[in-house]
Amino acid sequence: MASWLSDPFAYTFFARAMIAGVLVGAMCGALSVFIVLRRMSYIGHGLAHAVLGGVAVGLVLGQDMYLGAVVATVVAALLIDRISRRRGLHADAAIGVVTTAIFALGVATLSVSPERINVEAVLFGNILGVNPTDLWVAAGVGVALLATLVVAYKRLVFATFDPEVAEVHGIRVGGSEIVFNLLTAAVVVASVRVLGVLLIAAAVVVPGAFARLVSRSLGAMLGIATMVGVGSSVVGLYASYHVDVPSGPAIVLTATAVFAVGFVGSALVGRSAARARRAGPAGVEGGVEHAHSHEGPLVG
Amino acid sequence: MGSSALHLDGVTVGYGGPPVLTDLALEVGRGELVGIVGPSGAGKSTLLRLITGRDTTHRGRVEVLGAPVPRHGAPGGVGYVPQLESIDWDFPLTVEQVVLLGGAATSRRLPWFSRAERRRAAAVLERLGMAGLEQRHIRELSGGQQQRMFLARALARDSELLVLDEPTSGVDLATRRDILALLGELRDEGLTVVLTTHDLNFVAAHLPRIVFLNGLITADGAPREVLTPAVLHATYGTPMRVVHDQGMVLVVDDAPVLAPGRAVPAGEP
Repeated sequence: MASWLSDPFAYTFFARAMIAGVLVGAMCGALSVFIVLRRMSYIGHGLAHAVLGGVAVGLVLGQDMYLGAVVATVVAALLIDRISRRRGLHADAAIGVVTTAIFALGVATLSVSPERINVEAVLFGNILGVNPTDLWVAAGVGVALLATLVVAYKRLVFATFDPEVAEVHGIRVGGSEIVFNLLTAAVVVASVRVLGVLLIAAAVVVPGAFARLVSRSLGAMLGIATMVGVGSSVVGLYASYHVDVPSGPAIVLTATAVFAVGFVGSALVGRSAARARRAGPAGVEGGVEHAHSHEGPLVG
Repeated sequence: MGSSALHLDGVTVGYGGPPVLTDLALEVGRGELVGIVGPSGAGKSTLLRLITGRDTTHRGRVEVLGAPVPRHGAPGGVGYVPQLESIDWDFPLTVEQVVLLGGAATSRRLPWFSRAERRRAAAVLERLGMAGLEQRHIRELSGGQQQRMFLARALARDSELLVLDEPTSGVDLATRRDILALLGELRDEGLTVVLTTHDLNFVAAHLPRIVFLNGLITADGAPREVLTPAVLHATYGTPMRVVHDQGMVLVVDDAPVLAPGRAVPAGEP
């Protein structure tokens, strides 16, 4: 078992991939809490598609992969914000229009270009391809995300919970949405090498969804989602190395397995709590008049 | 400091179509408790957006607490309480955290609140009869407690003007009475309260002043003066009767809405 864990580290590429995986897992996990609470799960999917478009156009033009990805996701994030402010249009429509257009542009560019690009690595992630630049990018985005969460945490939570009132109370909700979209774009770009564009969407949703199932405090949600993100990356990268599957699917399948356990577990806990309430007054919360009949799987 | 909490003059709002509000003029003094009533689409929500600085498309003059509403940003000293239905009650927050968030814009740039801020939140919650509920998850509160929590959030930022959107929507009769009594107490403490409601009998009729709105102001005054069949018809476009009973004013339908139906015995298809 020990050699199963230590042998891969004989290879520099694996050590690099593990560092990148841990960073990406932590970032995606923390961000996923806000993505789930904002009901914006579609944005990870959309921005990842925009990344593919940007990467393709960038590489065909002889530019660095990251340059194309950054330009594409920043443009996509700003356009999504602009379009979703239009009366009658919501973020989901904006994401659908903008990101698929950039994706289509990338596919069209690839099809007419003589350049050969390893599309599979871009789509599904490739731990063999993690280079020092990827580590610096992941570390830089991680620092930016952490700094933003520390400085803007209260404002971000208020704008997420009750944007209407947050605005009245002096929070620049529009500005916080732009910052959030740009941060999401940065995390998506930093995750491309490890996760691949098609699977980033799951990485920025599943940890937050699991944390929401098993926790009822925002602080705990952030901690749990970050741990699930990191844990899924570690387990997934080992699986990727030993079973020889792309790193993206291995990480996402690990996170999904954790979510499935949480889903079943919280349902069982909810059922036994309901049974205890029916059984006697000891299970009834004294003096609380429940105006809303929410049946939620919250525990903890 | 001017004596007016709210001053609107010649205000017109439209969103590309016919104006939602036309040439509106309204004056609310400090320490008043005022209800805005009117049918759906009458412009009540637009009026609240104006007061709370969330509409910058209007023409005319809007002053809140003696100062013009800024074109970008919210006026200071205004606390806003949204409709309960607009809130995600499963959001992972406690009562204390919601109240503390009310001061987030001026709080220091760290993820946690200071002891002084927590003490202040506890004091506001105690003032509103919510002591001991600080660590409750927000979904564990009754409708009345939820309203009190949002009032506490508004008061936590030293609001002088409270704006409430349908504060009694979706709550039972006893809770409605509690909320009205609480708003009366806050008014007595010197706060100005402006609320919207659809409930003419159980809310509007108890308020000292009602403003009838339907694109423009159709009546403005004490319930006994303005709750009349003519005003109701002008505002709602449907005939209604007004009954005076033991000092109370009651609005009732002019005639049964549905014809009497035949009782269907159990078991009969």
